[in-house]
Amino acid sequence: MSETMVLRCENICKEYGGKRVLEEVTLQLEQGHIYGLIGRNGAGKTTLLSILTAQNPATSGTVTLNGAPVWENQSALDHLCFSREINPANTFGSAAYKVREYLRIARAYYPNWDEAYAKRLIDAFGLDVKKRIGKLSKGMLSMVTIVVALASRAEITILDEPVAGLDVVAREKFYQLLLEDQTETGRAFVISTHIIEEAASLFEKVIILQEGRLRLMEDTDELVSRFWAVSGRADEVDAACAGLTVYHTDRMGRAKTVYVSTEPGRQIRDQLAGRAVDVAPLSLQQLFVAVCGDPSMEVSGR
Amino acid sequence: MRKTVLHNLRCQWKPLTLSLAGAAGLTAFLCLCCIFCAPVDAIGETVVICFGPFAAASWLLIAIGLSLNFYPQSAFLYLLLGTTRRGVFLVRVLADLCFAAAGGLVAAVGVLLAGLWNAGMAGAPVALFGGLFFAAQLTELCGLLSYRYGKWGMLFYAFGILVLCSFSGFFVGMVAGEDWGEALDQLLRWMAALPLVSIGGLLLVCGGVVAALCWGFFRRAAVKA
Repeated sequence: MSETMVLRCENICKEYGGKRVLEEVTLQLEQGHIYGLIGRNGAGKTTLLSILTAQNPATSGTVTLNGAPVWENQSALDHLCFSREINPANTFGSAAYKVREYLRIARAYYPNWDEAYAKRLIDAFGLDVKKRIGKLSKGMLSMVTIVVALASRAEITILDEPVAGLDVVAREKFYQLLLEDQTETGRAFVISTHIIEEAASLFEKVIILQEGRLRLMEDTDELVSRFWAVSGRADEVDAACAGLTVYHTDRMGRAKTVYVSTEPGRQIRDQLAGRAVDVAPLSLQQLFVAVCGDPSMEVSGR
Repeated sequence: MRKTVLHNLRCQWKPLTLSLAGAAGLTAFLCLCCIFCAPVDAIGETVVICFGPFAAASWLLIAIGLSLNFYPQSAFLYLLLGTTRRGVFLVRVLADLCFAAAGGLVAAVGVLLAGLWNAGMAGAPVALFGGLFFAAQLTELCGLLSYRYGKWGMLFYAFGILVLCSFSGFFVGMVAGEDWGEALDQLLRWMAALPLVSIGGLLLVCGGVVAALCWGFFRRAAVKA
């Protein structure tokens, strides 16, 4: 496929029984990048991903792939893969199939399915293809979804919490396989995860959803370079951070730590010149907690 | 449209083949049981006479049994793997028609073997075809409502059947109790005289109506986790 795939959603809204779970979400995903989609529980991540792949109808808004609507469009769906968590408690549905039957059905539906690659992945993860999906552990279920996602060779592949239940060795193996695949094929991957710190180095771009709204979407490096932890005596910190957006505050006696962001391109040291404060960069996880965290979690001690 | 239909044919041909094999196998099994129950000097004759009804019963059981879990077990899995609702639905209806047609064909063989073709039973295969399609659509609707609305869907479906049966019983009871007995008698005689082909056609139309209902519930259904 020579044409670069661009998946775009505009003003997506979703309501369940009068409650809005997604509000005017607009974003664009391009082939060739790895996106991290992060958000708190109930932020609307899975709902958004299912709408992007026509598994869930939006209440309003449009989703297009290279300009063509995705909904009920097989030509568009052939280039998308949404590998989501399989529910083992589901007596009917996919839980009744054996792993090899599930993969056989996947092979029938994904036009670019790579059977040899699927077999290599099955061996790499040590999956027993004769076992019923309903009998698999949480980690094994994650491996099945990863095999489907990677072997589909879909130009835009979305994984919803792919590492849930995986041990650290399996997680590292997954990250390695993902990078290798992306380097080899130039596919786009969108990964929704709560294990931010581990996956942060993978993400070229970060999408943060908060309470159904798109909070931000930026290059990971640029985003992280704008957020800082400034700590020191409370009055010094307040003076140093005047005019900056403060996302999080911790107090301990007369000491204070705040998480702030600067304007793109602006150096934090310019802002803090002459002030007796310490400055440290924030990790993506700290940044996320600062932006989306619960204010009642802020530490305040004497 | 062609693309999505081909997609789904690639996946749904196997369940259809298994359904046909299951129905044929069940028919053969019942005929085998019949051999052991038939008079020794009339085994062949008994099997020939029973073949048609056995085939009809087997096809009906398989149609109802497998249609019930199509939407809960298979349809939303296909959507999860990236196909359209139109494709899933159309191919399923096609599969149901093929299965029903196969049942009708086998029933035709049964009628011919029993020598009843010229005894007014030539329309029985058509009636079975319509009946099988209607039964499959009814049970698919039940399965779909259960998937989409859970226990309330099942209760609504059961309640709907109860209302239908109650209304029919109430109507017949009222007619029998009033002076409309003669009119009912004429209606029943007319219905009994209907050619089997007409009954088959009527059942096919009813099946189409129920299939349209299924589409109404399926066309914007969301894939659940």
